[in-house]
Amino acid sequence: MSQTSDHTGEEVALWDAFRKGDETALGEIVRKYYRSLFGYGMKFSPDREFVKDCIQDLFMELWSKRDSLGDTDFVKFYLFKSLRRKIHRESMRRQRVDEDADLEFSAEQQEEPSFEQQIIESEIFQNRLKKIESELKSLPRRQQEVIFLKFFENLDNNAIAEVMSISKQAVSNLIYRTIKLLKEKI
Amino acid sequence: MDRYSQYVIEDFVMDSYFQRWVRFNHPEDQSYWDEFMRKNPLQKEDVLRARALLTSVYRLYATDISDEEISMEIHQLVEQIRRERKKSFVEEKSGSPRRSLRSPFWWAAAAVLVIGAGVWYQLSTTRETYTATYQTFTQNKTVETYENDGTENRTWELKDGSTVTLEPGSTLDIPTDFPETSRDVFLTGTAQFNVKKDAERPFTVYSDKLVTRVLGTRFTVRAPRNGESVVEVAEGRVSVFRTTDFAQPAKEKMGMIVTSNQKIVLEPKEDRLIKELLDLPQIVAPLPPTVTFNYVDAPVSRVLKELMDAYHVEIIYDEEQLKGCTLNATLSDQTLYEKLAAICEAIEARYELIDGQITIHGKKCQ
Repeated sequence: MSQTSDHTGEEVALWDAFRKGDETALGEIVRKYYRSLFGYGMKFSPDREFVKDCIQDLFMELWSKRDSLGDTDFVKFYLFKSLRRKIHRESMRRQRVDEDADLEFSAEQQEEPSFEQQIIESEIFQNRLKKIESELKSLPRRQQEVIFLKFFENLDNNAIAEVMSISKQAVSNLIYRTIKLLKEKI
Repeated sequence: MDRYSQYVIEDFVMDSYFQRWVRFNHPEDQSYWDEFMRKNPLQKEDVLRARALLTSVYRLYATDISDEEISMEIHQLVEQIRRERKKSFVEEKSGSPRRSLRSPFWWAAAAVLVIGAGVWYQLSTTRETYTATYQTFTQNKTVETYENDGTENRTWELKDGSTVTLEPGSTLDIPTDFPETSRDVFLTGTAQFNVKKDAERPFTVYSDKLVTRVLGTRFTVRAPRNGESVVEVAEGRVSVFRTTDFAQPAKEKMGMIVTSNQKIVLEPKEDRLIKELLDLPQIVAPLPPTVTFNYVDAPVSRVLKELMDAYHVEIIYDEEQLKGCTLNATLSDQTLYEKLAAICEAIEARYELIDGQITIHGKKCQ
């Protein structure tokens, strides 16, 4: 099972069909990645409708310029990168915030785990979870974003570097440092 | 298990099988890792810490969105794209409806010339069925094409005195020997027909998915490129077949008869033909002067018979059961469904719509 990008033959075929104007292929691509894209978008804005609009716009734009899109084996990171850029631009436009400021990644408001879940899980486990969570939340946002893309979305280091426009070295450093820090807390 | 025996916490965290266990908790994975911890007690602590670390990430960064929400977004997106395509299609064509003489070869070529690239592709996905059905129809014939590429409905009178009203974007192909040998037409889109009675020559409407055969009646056929095919009968009686069934020799058995105020729907999945009452049934027959739909102490069985005669619908009820029931009601300005509801309420019954027929379930009245 590959941890890295999932560029199967099927995905390549889907992307090709999409570029040739097959709207069913577009629907398939959207269905495959929507949940991930939405989850990523929500880390930059708490406004669900705004995030949904950005995703709609993203795919409409991709559709309209499908002729000029290149081959890509790495559909997922390409979509993530495009969405990130779009959310950045749209946020700038709406809030008229300083353009040099980067997007701020942060976890959404989470619900408490259910009562049943709390009973099943051991107290040690729950304490660890709390410690790690508070530690994660206090990490710099870029670091959190790297952790999210790595462990939640399973992008490889190259892809993460592309999405965030940072170096591959920076990505692996951040991952290494985060695990080292977290394991000491528990 | 060998490779894992050297692992420390970071290695577990980065391992994809380990991640799969923590994230999805499949029973097979659970038993595997339970077993591993049992056999490697020195690593148990690292396993648990790695598990806690990953679990935090999965919980902290989870997003809540339902499958329905996602489906709706996808639907909106695809619809938007289709709308934009249609816009460019409409802009390509200009002006007024026209009649043109075309052979099937010309039709295929003209399709490429006239419509824009986007729509051409859309057509080509359904082209397989189209070409097959259409080609069978036009084999050894020349056809005349009536086409409505305007924005309003447009009506033509055919050689036999029947009339057809085409909705915008629809076409009707008629062999030049209509109606001498037979009355066959090929419809793409939606049209209303008012067919002159001719028992010798049934009027047959072919379309991609449905074939509708009539003697003389008023009805509407919807045969769009995508979506459901529907035949609605305003008045009279038609038989409807799936195009695929019509080709079979024993075709009479596989069709369905649709009468006044009924419609038949063929879903895109082509599973089966579903017969229903129209959403807005109309009074079909001229009402005799005695029938006003206003009742004072009228036996319910008479009321139901008057409804059946007026709307040409079938109402099934137990004559014995409803024998003693009478009705006091003014139903004149109500729709059929409103009339039924009022009657049922008065006699403490309920009605059901099955297969385009109405069934009354009631009980004895005092």
